[in-house]
Amino acid sequence: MSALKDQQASMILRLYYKPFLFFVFSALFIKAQAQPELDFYTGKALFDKNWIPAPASTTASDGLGPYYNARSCNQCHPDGGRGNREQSLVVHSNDPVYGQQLQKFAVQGIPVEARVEFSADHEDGFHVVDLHYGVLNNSALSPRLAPSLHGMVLLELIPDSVINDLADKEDSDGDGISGRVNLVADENGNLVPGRFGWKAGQSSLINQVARALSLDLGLGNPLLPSPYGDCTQTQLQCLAAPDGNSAHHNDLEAGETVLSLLLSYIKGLSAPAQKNRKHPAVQRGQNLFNQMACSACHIPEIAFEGNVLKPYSDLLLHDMGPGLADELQEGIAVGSEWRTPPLWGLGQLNGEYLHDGRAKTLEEAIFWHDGEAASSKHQYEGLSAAQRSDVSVFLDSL
Amino acid sequence: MKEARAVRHSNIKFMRLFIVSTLVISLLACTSAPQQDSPVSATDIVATYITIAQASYEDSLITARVLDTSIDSFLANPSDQTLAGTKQAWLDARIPYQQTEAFRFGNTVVDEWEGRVNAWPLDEGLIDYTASSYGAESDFNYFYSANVIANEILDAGGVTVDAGEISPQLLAEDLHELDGVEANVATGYHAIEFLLWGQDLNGTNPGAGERPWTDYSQQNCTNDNCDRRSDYLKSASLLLVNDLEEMVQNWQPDGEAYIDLMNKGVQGGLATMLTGMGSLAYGELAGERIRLGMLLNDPEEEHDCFSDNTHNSHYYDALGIRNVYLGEYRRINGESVTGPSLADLILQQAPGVSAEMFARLEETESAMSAMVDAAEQGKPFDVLIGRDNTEGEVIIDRIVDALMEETRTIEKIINELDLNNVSIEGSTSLDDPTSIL
Repeated sequence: MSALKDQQASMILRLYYKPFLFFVFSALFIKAQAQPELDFYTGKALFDKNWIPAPASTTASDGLGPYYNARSCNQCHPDGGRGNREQSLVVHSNDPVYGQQLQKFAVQGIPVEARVEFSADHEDGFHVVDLHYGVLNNSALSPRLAPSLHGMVLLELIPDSVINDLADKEDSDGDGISGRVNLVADENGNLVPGRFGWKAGQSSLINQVARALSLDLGLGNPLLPSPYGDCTQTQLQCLAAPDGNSAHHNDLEAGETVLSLLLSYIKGLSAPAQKNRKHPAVQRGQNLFNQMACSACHIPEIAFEGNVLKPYSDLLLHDMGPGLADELQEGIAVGSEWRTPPLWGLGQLNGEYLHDGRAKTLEEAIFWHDGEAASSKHQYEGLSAAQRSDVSVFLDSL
Repeated sequence: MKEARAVRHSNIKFMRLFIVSTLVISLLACTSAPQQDSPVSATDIVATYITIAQASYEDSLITARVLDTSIDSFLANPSDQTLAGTKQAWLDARIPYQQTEAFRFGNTVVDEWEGRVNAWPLDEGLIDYTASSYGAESDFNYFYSANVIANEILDAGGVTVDAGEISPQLLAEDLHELDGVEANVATGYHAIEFLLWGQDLNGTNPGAGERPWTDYSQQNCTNDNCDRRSDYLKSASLLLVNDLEEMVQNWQPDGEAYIDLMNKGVQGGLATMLTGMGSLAYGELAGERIRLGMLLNDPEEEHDCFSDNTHNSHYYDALGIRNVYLGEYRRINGESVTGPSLADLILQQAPGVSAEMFARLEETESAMSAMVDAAEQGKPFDVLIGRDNTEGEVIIDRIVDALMEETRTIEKIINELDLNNVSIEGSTSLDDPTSIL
């Protein structure tokens, strides 16, 4: 029964605990005895916390905004999982006035940047209305869903060299696939392979979390200290709003301890495991998946240093054609390029596939594949109904 | 002002079972397993659980109604005395409610409802005036931000809210839906607490919020809008009573919580009980409510932050867990609600684990009592979590450890009753780091 499953999921330990990794990371910041498992749950408390705007007497919990998309991490990543369109769809941008996102909410007294209306069936996509700071400056706009955080800890462990080796940007093997590594700045400013985010725009979890704190919640933190998050020079009311910085939190809104505990939680979210691996339909579906070369980008296994991960992704950028393009650049990724999303955990979704949840079914998602994936898609189109069903069963098993 | 006193419960049943279990263990050495009377039935255990839920929520409702009446008296005749009386009514109302938290984390109906009555932190600035800054040296100039009490039209969350009339509906619907958050950060026990006490601006020094009663005086109003503030207080109180009435109804035989639980079957029922106990003990109480405040050294990172009543809230949370295990609840009128319990079952089935569980519950109670004692000696929770309070840290660490150990034993009980399909790995042990696969 799903209610019981939820209870068990929220119960202690077992599937969500990776003690070795906690010990390394939590020991760095937590001054009390390093208690990795408890750090996971304390981190979860922070992940679930509804932040409030400053000023407030609860100084550890204030500093939300002035612009924000949700009050808590959990609101868009429920239980660390993937968000749905209603709660978690955020429009990313690269506008000199509106910043990197059109945040959905503003604290009292600050005008909301804009309202975004999404069309239910994605025919028109979306409209931006009530722009408060004037017209957009040719900014690209890209609605993005909040991805699942489960298993991200493992993706971070993959050495850069392994990702580099997977790349074949000139398509030297002539298979039509030319995955390339996105190069992004790490926390020290060096260019390194990106791996997190829809376009692999972040190289590490700490970077990604810091960015989310800043842009999605408006919380200044050790890596991105401004309490004003995504506010630009034009947005004067935002910049004049009270901040939630506290001296006893490193003069930040979300200090080192908060960041560290959040990472403890995220790093404890284990990768989803495949179910019913040996079921005949699953195996047939997997064979088709491989035959159609879906596995050329959605790589079933990545091995390194004696470990084997099964993310069904090469973490590389691929040109997916004009239909999916959003014109938003990230790192060296251009508008039609997307990182291969990991397919582990796919079976837990029930619609709203792809970066903006536009595809209601797996088949729709497959039909959106184009560019480097065009050939694989054509092969899928040539499958019989029974074969397509097998592919579906396989994908749902992940 | 009279503080709420945590009543130390030495359940008669607890002591009886504790003694019996000790005897049973010592007897085991020289006899085979003792012949008990007929085994405790899981059906009866779940029935007791429901009876306790009914009684606990009823008591919560009764005390919330007393609080509501007290608020009426206060608003009709504001004064230091009537405010003190209302504050006492609030403190009294927390005692049964906190014990109901053991019914969370397993009963979906409770989980979906809880954010309306006990959400924390509160969006203080949304409700009423707040101090403009916090810190050791600042003067507290009050920040009249765009809060509901001061503004008939509110721009919040990108939406314009007509707050001309402050009513339960405004709080429950318009404010609640502002930014899609499930928990309502503007209603519930803590909203009422904030309105009665005001912000605690003492930091890690002793002292709670000190809102003047004149904030509600129509003749000598301080901080403006005394009429609207009164409306807010009354509305929040009415909402609380309504919400509790709803939950009382949910646990009646035709109620949703009751039916959901019955539909899970007896094994599902036992699992629900233990999941609630463990999740409340570990993640919620030990992790979020106790340890986090200490790690952040933040004085107001505590649930009853305005009234400095947190020690009692934690104490009664722990008592709620105990109630579920022992199948015994002491009502506010002194009556005892009791019946066949998990404790009875485990005593029969696994005396070793049973003794361990009793020991854990004892230690938790002692550790919590030490915190309550400190509070009653002028060192409430927000003083204990102060940055350099090593004595406070010892008290808090002891509670966290006790709750962790209690949770481990709860896991053993789950194992013992074979309630999971997945066996529990050695993930509890720090000695056995699993590989990354």
